Amino acid sequence: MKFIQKFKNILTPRLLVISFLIVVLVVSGMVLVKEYRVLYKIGVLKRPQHPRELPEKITINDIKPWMTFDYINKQFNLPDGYFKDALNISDSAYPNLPIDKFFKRDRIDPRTAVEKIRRLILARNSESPQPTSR
Amino acid sequence: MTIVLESLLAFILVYKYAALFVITFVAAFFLPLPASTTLVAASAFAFQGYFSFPAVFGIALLGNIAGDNLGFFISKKYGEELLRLIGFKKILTSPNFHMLKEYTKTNTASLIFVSRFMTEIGPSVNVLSGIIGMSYRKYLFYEITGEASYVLLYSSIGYYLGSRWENGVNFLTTAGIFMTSLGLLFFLIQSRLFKRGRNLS
Repeated sequence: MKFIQKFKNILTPRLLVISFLIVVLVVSGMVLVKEYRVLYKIGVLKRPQHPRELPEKITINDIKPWMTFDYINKQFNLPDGYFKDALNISDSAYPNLPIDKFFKRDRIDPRTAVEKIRRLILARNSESPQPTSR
Repeated sequence: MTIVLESLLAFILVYKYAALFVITFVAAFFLPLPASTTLVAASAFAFQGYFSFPAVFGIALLGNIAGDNLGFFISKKYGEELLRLIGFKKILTSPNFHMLKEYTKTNTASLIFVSRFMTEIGPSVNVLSGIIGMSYRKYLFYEITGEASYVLLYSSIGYYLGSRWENGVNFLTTAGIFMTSLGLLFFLIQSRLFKRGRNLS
């Protein structure tokens, strides 16, 4: 009983908050080290010796549903109206239109939409090879 | 990547610099949005040549400063009244709040500067600075210095990571949690020491 009372006296809200923060700090510190190792392993933190070697553009595997057609066009050096013609896009917002927003109208899953975009880029590149990175 | 972040990224790609301003402004004013990650992404887009890096830096800085200042001015003018109105009367008259005000007055520089890197805490510090009636010149100096350092740090990270920025999202999120908990811990311990110092004197 005495021990519990003593424990209750020590356990102030401030101490609880400090303990919680220390736990968060230790856990996030551990995760941070782990994430750093992952980044180093996949080469994100290694800098190429020559700045020109850096991949300035994204690859087709990096395409995400939140990206706009305009962004994709610029990344892959595609003509502005390429997707408009290929997908029959009539939305006046094109090319400033996110991929998922366009495909949502046809209830197409974002992953399928991205796959469709990838296929169209590959098809275009096989017709007239375009550099994907500067 | 969270739905919120994906929506913010789409918003940035559609409305470009205007969106960047809105996100940084709202995050600095009151809403805990993932503004740091968005800033990293915008800087990576600048690396890709889609945005201009000086424009990303300038607009993010402007958005942050504008959001902070609005929070500061509103709280300076209506702060205590507003808090009383929404039911915080007890807190405002408590000795702990009085101590917090005293602490803010004596640790202005570190509190404002460090809280710029803790996007979840920054708006509360702006409100507190306004409530205690801090001089605007003093507030502005530390606020601009802090925001410039914060924006420079995160935009440089984005520019450095370039097209591989998405690989660093988890690292940055964890770094944000780490920095916030470290900052809070620092302030809690510092305020404890401050209280003890006051009691002794």
